Parts: sequence; structure tokens; C-alpha cells
Amino acid sequence: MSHPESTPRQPDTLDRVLGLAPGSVAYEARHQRAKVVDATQASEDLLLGAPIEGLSVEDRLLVALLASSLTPASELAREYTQRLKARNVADKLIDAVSQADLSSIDNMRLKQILAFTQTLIIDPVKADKQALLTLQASGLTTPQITALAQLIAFVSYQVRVAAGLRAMNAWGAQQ
Amino acid sequence: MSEVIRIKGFTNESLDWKAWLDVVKLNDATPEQIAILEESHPKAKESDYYLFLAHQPEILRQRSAAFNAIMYAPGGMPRAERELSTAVVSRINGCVYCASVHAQRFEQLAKRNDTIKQVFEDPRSAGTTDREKAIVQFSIELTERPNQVSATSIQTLKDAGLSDAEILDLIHSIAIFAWANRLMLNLGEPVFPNP
Repeated sequence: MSHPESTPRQPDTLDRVLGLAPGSVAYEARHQRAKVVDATQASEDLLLGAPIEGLSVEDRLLVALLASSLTPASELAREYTQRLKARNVADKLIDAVSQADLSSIDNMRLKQILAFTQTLIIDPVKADKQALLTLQASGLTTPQITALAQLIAFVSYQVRVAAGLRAMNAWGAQQ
Repeated sequence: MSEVIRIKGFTNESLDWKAWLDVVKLNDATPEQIAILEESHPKAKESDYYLFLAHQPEILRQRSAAFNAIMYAPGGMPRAERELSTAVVSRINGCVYCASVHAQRFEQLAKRNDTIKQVFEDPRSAGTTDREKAIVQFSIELTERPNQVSATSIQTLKDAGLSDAEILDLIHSIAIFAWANRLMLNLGEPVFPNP
């Protein structure tokens, strides 16, 4: 996204949820790496906003909520909860996913997607070929599995960028 | 490469990687897919990893933009130290393929392999200087316990001599390997050279 220089920059997701303000140590260091900032937000927009055939935005936000809740990354979990509520996803489902309680989910396809998410977030070395075959058996195509794997991996990146920036911001506030 | 290292299942040898599901075939690839492969990595068109990710070309484009900006941008943290942090993250996450690639890059940039041997042997005590030890410890903390990283963690890096820009680059390097390791570990497996 290119903005005319006269237009003030809109805060992206990480600046907004972490409350990073221009002039702070974390904000100024972060925005020296503008290409990273832009590619991070563009990835989020593609993975959690743009249409992906066969994977609804609601299902993808549930994946992001589960991944951020398991980390835990409270600012991002709150953000994804709000987006799910804005899309009228049932509170019961949001609550179950935010507590990583998959037992009450009766949609088997969604349950398999969330179970895959749980493995990749908690113990990535445990996933194996069988996990991908299980997703295929649940009706996911290879492009859909690619998008899902990228989404889970992206959130595991995003929560760590958020954690690092939060710590830098807290350090900066003490100086 | 000067010396082959094989320690606790990790190596600095060049490995191959094979996808578990079908990859995009170059003959069937769209012009967009070809363009994104070419901008992602010099050898992407021969790589199962990139040919698999090309199933979602725009997502691959932004992943590669983030990855390349984090690992190769000039200034900030020296590139050898970025490679050290990614080798540590890959060792902690158990990604043998990623660890081999970034062990080689560290050695090419730093002209030594002593720290890599330590990382493979026991990442928690690795580091040949106080600065390396601080980078290693922070890489482990942000990988394993991101919610516990605090102002104190940042002060420890400051005490070891890292600037704000270097700390930011370190955070990005660690985080992008949370991403990279998960793709490499979950979409396929390393292939070892014939003995």
C-alpha cells in the first residue's frame, strides 16, 4: 500500500493493538523497517481478510483466535475475538475456541482445522504427513491446506513480533 | 563448507526437502506464479518448498517480501547474528532442514562455526561472547515463552551492547523463523544426502 506523503499513516494492526505511538522507542525502531511493516500487514490482510476459496473469513479468524489464545497473546486474542463478534459468530463458539476446548465443536471440518492449528502452535515438530492427509479427508484441497498452513505460521510470527514490540515499548517507557 | 558437523541429529550439510502433498508443476504454472517464484528465491523453481507455497501465490509473495526484508536488509543487526538467531530458533523448534541452511549461512558470514557447534550441542548454553549469549537467550525466550518477554529482557540485550535497531531486527528474525519452521516442519520433510 502506498500513501501520499502528506497523508498521516493509519496505524496498522500491531501499532493499534499494542498502542505504539510515534516517538516511542518501539514505534521508531519498527518503522525504520517499513518493508517488514508493510509485508506483515499485507500478509494479515490476505490471510484474514481477502477471499480464499473454500476457507471462510470466520473459520480463518477462529484459527487466529485459537493460535493467539494458546500462545498466549492477549492483545491479538482480543482483536480476533472482536472481529469474530463483529461478524456475528456465536459467542459459545468464540468462547470454546478461546479456551482451546474443541470438544463442543460438532462441525468436523472446522474441528480438524482447529486440531491442526493446535498441533502447529504448541508442538510444531509433532505434525506429520498424516495430519495433512486428515485435512484432505475432511475435504480440504491442496491450495486450501497451503493457505491454512501459511495462516497458522503467520500468526505464530505475528504473536512474537507483538511480544517483542510490547517489551520494547515497556522498556522505552522506563527510560 | 570447511567441516561437516553432525550433532544430535542436526547438521550443516546441504539437505534437500520434499513436500508431502502435490506441488505446482512448472509447466502448469501461471505467469503470476512464475513471477512470484522468481522474486522469492534464486532457486525457487527447483524447490519443492516454493513450488508447494506457489499454490497460494499472493500469500507467498508477501511472505517472501517479509522474509527477505528481515534477513537481507542492510544496516541494523549484522547478518551473521541474524543467522545465529534463526539457527537457534530452528534448533529449539526441531527444524533440521532450517537449522542446516542457517548454520551454513552463519559460517559463510562469520568465517567460523564454533557457535553453531554449541547451538547444536546445547542451545541453552551457546555463545562464544556475552553478546552472542544474550542473542541466543533472547531467541530461546521469544520462541518458547513469548508472553514472558519483558522490559528486563530488552535491558539484558542493551547491556550486551545491542542498539534499538538491532533489537528490532533480532525480534523480526526470531519471529520469521516461527513462521518458516512451521511451514518446513508441517508440509514435508528433509532429505539427507546419500552416505
